Amino acid sequence: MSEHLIEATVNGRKVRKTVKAGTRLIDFLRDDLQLTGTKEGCGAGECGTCSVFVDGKLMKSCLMPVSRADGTVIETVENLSGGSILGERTAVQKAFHKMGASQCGYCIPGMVMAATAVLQDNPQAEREEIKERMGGNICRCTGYQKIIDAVELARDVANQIQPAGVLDTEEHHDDFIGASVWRIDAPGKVTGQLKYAGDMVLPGMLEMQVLRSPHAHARIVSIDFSSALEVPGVHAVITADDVPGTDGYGVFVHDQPVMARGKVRHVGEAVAAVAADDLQAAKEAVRLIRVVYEQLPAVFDTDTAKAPGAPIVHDYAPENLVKHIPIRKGDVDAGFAEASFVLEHTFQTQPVEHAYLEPEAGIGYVDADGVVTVHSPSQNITHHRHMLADILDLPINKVRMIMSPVGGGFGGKEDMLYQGMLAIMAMKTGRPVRLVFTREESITVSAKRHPTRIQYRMGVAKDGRITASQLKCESDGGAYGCSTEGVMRKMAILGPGPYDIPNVKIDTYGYYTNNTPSGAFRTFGAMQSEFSTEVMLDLAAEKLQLDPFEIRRINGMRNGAITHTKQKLESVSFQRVLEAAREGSRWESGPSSSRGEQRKDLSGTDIRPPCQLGARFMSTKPEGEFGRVRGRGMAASWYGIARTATIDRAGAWVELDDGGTAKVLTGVTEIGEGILTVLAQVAADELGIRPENITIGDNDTARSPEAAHAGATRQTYMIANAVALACRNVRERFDAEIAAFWEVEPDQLEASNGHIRVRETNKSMTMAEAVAVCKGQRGVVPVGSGSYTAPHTGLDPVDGSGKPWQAYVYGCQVAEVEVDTVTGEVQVLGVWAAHDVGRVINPQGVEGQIEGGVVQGLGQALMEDYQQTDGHAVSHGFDKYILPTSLDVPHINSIIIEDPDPLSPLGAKGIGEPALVPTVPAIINAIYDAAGIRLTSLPATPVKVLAALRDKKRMREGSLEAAE
Amino acid sequence: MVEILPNFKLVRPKTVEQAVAMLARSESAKLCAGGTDLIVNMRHGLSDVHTLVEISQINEMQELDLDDDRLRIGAGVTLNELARSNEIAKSFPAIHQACVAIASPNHRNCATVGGNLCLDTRCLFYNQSHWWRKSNDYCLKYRGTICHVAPKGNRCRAAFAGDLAPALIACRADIEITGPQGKRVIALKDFYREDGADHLKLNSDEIVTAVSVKSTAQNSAYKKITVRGALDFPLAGVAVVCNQTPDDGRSFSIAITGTNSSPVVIDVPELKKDDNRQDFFSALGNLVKKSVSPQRTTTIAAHYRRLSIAAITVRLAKTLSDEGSK
Repeated sequence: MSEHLIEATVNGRKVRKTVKAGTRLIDFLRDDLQLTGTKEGCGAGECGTCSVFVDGKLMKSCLMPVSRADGTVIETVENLSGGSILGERTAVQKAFHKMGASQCGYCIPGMVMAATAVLQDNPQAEREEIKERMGGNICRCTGYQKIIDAVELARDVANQIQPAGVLDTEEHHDDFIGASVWRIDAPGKVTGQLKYAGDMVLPGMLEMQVLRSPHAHARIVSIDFSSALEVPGVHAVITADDVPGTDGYGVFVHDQPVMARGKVRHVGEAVAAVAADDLQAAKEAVRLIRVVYEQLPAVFDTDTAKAPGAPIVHDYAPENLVKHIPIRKGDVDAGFAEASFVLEHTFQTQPVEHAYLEPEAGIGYVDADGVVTVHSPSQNITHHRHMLADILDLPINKVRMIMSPVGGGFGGKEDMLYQGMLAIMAMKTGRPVRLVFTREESITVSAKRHPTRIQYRMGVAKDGRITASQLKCESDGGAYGCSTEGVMRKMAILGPGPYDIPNVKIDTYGYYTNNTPSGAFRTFGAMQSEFSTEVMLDLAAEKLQLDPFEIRRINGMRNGAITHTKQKLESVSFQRVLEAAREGSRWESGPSSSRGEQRKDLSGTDIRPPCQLGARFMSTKPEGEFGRVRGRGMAASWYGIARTATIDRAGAWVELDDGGTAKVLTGVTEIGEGILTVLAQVAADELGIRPENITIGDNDTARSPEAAHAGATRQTYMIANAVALACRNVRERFDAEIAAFWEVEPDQLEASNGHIRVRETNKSMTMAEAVAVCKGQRGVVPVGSGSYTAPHTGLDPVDGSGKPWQAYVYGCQVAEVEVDTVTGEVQVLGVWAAHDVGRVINPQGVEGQIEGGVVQGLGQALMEDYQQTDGHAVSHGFDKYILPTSLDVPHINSIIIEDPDPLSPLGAKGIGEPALVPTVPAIINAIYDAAGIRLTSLPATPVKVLAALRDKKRMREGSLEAAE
Repeated sequence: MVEILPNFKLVRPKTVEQAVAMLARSESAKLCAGGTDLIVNMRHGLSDVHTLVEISQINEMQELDLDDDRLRIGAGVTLNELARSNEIAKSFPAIHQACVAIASPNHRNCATVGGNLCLDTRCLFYNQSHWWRKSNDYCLKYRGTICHVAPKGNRCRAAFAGDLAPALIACRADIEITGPQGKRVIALKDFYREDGADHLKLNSDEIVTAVSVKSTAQNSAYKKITVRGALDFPLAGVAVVCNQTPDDGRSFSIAITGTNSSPVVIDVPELKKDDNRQDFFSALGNLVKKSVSPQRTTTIAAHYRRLSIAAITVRLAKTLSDEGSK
C-alpha cells in the first residue's frame, strides 16, 4: 500500500502526516486532524457540506485526494472562529445566527464557507449573484431564503450599510413568547462545533459495514462468512441468527427484521454486518461474504400486488394489503345525484426521498452497568427503546437510546433501520461500534413518501357547493410496513380538505410490494390526497367560472363545522387564512380558467427574477423572451396537530437552579425546527427568567422523561405544553416558599426577566437571590414536573368516525410561475403562504418552517422522483435524485395567522408539516393558469409539461381543422 | 455500495514533457486534472488506475491568452478562471455561458477546461456504484457484455455531457494534443467519436494541452436543459454562433451536447435575406431532431431531450439572428 507524506498548513498550523494514497482531503481533515466541522453529505461532490478553502479557493474536499493537498494552505470552518465555540465568530457566522439561517445545521458549515467565498470574491454581490455562487451547496431544511438573507446582511455590514452592532446584539425582548429569540443552538452549528453521530469517536471503536441484498425478492439459501472472518482486523460478522430476542420492528406493524431472515424483500435490505478495526477491512470483509440466493417472483406495483396470484411479500398478509382505512359520512350516491355535475379524475404521485443532508449514522456500545446503548439521530428514541428491548430480549432499563443531533429527518429517521445491528454488534464484540451510511445506502434503504394513485369523484352544485366527495387512494408501501398504516389513516382523514361536505366516501389502501419501503415523510399522506382535492376544486371552479378563492370560501369550514370523521370543530380559522392569502398575494379575482398573461397581479416586487445563468455578465439577454408565460395558482389545506387518532402525551421535568437559572429535562428531539429555542422561550416566560439562562438536557431514555417522537407536528404542541405545566408546577412550589419568606400570599408574586417581586410593593429579589432563599432558608429544592395529554380517540373501523385531533391548523398558498413553453421548464418565482399556527412562539422559526416546507413542496411538484427499475433504485445520489438548489427557489412571503388553540395551556399549535401541503397544488394550478395545461401526475417535469403543451396544441389544431 | 477511494500513486509533473513520459511508462496511468468527475468514478470502481498523473502544477497549461488573432485556453485553466474573464464573456458569450452553467462554483474552482473537454461519457447504467452495477450485470461500457440502454445494439450509447465542447466547436475551435511525438493540432469537432466506451481520439500517452479559437467577435449563446438551476449535467445543450453575411443574411454554426456519445455538429445552410424565416427555422428544428439520437441514459426521457433540444436550438438561432450581428 503506497503512502504519502503530507505537509500542509491547516488553519494556520503546519501539519505533517503520513497517509494512505486513497485518503481524500475530507478523510484527512476529519479522521486525522479531528476537524469534524467539515461534513460528508454525499461523498460525490454534489451537496457541498464538505466545502473548505484550499489555497484560498472554495473546494469540495470529498473530491480531492489528500495527496493533491500537499503543500497547500487549507482552511476549514473551524478556522473562522479560532477553532473554538468560544472564539469570535465572523460576520457571516453571526449573520447566520441572527437571521435563523441554520435549522438542522448539517449543511451549515459548508454554507458558511460558501458564503464566505462569495463575499471574498465580490464584496458587493447582489442577491441573484449570491444565489448563483451558492449553487453548489444543498440545504434541505431552510429553503435557502434565510441563508441568502444572512449573506446579504453580512455583506451590508461589511460595506457599512448596516452597523456592525446588528450582528452582536439581540433586540431586548420583555415578552419572550411571540419574539424572534435567536436560536440557542445556532452557534454550535455555524462554527461546525456540534457533533453529529458520524463525528463521534469512542476509544476502541470498531467500524461496521453492511452487506445488502442485490435482489428485490429472494430466498436466502445460505450465508458463508468464513472468509470474511479471515480478513485482518475483522472482529465479528452478524446475521439474523445473532438476534437474541423477538426479531421485528416497525412504527406500526413489527414486520421488519433487523437483518433479512430467510428471505430478502427489497434491493438493499441488510443481510449481514461486519465490524472491523477500520472501514477498509470492514468493506473488504463484506465483499467476501458469500450468499446464495434463490430468486423469487417479485412485485413492483400496486395493481399487480392486489391481483390474485401475485407474489406474496409477507406470509401474514396473503393479499399484500398493509392497511385499508374507510371513512363514510352521509350518502355519496345521493350527493352525486344532487350535483349539477360530477368531476372524475385520477391523480398519481411519485415516491420522494427525504434527502436529509446527514446520512444515517450511529454508535452502539455496552456501558459499565451492562446497559446496551445506541447513540443515533433517531426521531423516536422512546419507541426505538421499546422495540430494541424486545429484539435484544433485555429488560427495558437495560436498553438506552440517546439522540444525537439530527441532521435532518422529515420522517425518514423514524424507522429503526440500523440501531438494532449496532446494538447486537456491540454486544457481540464488546466494543463500541460505529456505522455511517453512504449517501447511496441512505437513499436506497430508507423509506420514501408513498407513491399514490387517487381516483377522485366530486359532485358540485350550481352554486359551487360540493355535494359529495369520493376518493380511492392506493399507495405502494414497499417491502415493509414502516408507517404505512398511519399514513393511510391521515391520508383518509384529511383527504377531502377543510371543506364542509355532507357526503363523503374515502378508502385508502396501502400495499406491500418489493420496492423500497415507503414510510413517514412530512405530511404523512396528507400531501397526496389534499393535492388531488385542491386540483379538483380548481377544475370545479373553472367549470363554474368562479374565482378559486370563492369556491373555497363557499365550501370552507367555519366554526361548528362537522368534519369527515363527524367531529365538531369549535374554532376554525380557515376563512381568515383564505382572506389573508388573497390579500397578501394581491390576488386579482377572476374565474379560474387559464388567465395567465392577462392577469394584472403578475410580476410584482415580491417575486424573484427568473434564473438565467450568467445573465448578469451579458450586455444582451442570452436568449429571447418569447415562449415564456407566467401565471398564478392557489390552493388551501388543513392539518391535524399531534398523533393521529390515539391519545398523545409528553412529559418534562424542570428545576429552578442556582443563579436564577433553570434546567429543563424532556425527551425532546431537536430535528432542526428550533424546538429547543421554543422550549427555552416558554420556560423563560413561565419561570420569569431569560431564555439564555435555561439549559435543556439531552434526549436520553435513561435520563429524561418521555416526550416521544419528532413527528406529527407535535413537538411545540405536546412538549412545550408539558414544559409549561412543569414550570407552573415549579413556580407553585417556589412561590409558596418565597411568599412565606416575605410573609405575603403566593398570588401577590410576579416574576419576569430574572426578578421576582410582590405586586404593588417595593419587595423584590433577583431570581438568583430567590433560589438561594428557597434552598438555603426554606430548605426546598424548587423542582417540578408536567405531563400534557391530547385526548384523541381512535377511528371507528367501519365508518371512520372519531376525534383524531383536538387542534387543527389551516393554510393557503398562492404560487406564481413562469413556464417555458419551448422547453417545458417551470420556475416558481413567488409564493405567498398564509398559515394559522395558533399562538406564535417564535415568528422567525415559523417562517423558517414555512420556507423550508414550500421548497420541499416545490421539489415534489416539479422535479423530485425516486426512480426504480425492477426494485433497483436508479436515482440514489444527488446527481440523479434532483432536488432544489438555491437557484430554484421562489421568493417566499410568509403570512402568519394566530388563532390560539383554546384547549391547551399555551395556545400554540404547529407548522412543521402543514407548510408544504398546499405548495404542490398551488404550483400545479399556477401552471394551468400560465400555460393552460392540467397536470395530474407528479412531478411536473419538463417532459410532462412539454408533452401536455404538445397535446394541447394538437387538440387545438384538430378542433380548428374540424371547424373548417 | 460506494467504496473507499482505491489505493493509487499520485505523481505531479511540472512539465507537459514529464507528464507524457509518466503516462507512457504505465498502462494503468491516468491523467487527473480537477478530478471532479474522475474521483467519483474511481469510488464507483469504474477504473483500474494505479497511477494518477496530476497536472495542476504544469504552468504551461495554465495560460489564458486573448490577443487580436486567437483566444488560446490552456487545458489546465480552471473553469472559474475562464468564467472570470470579462473579455471572453463579451466576445464569446457561448463559451462563457457554457462555462458558468457547469456543475457549481465549488466544482469550477477545481475543474478544468481540459477535463471538461475530455469528460467521460455518462449513463444511468454506468455512473453507479460497483455494488449496483454488479447487481445489474454490469454493462458494455465497463466489465459487461450488454448495453442496457440499447440491448440489441453492439456499442455503448453513454452520452457525452460536457458543456464547453459544443460552445468551442460552434466557435470552430482547434485542440492541441501533445504526445511522445510532439504536438498535433486538430479541429475540436474531430476529437470525438460516436462510441460511448471510447469517445475520445486521444492515445493513452497523449495530453490535451490547449484549445484555441479565432478571436473574431461573434454573436453566440449556449443553453442547456436541466431540471434545476445548478449542479446538473446537461440533459441536452446547444451552442449557436450566428454571423451576419455580407449580403445581410445569417450564417450559423451549431453544436449540441448531451444527446449522443460525442458532440453533434449541425450543418446548417445559410439564412438568406429573402428566405422565408418560418420555413427556415422549422427546417432547422427538423434537422436537429434528425441529427441527434438521445438514448435512455438519463432519468429524463430520451424523446423529450430530442424535442426540447430542437426547440431551443431554433429559439437561440432566431434570437441571435434577430439581434443582428456585430
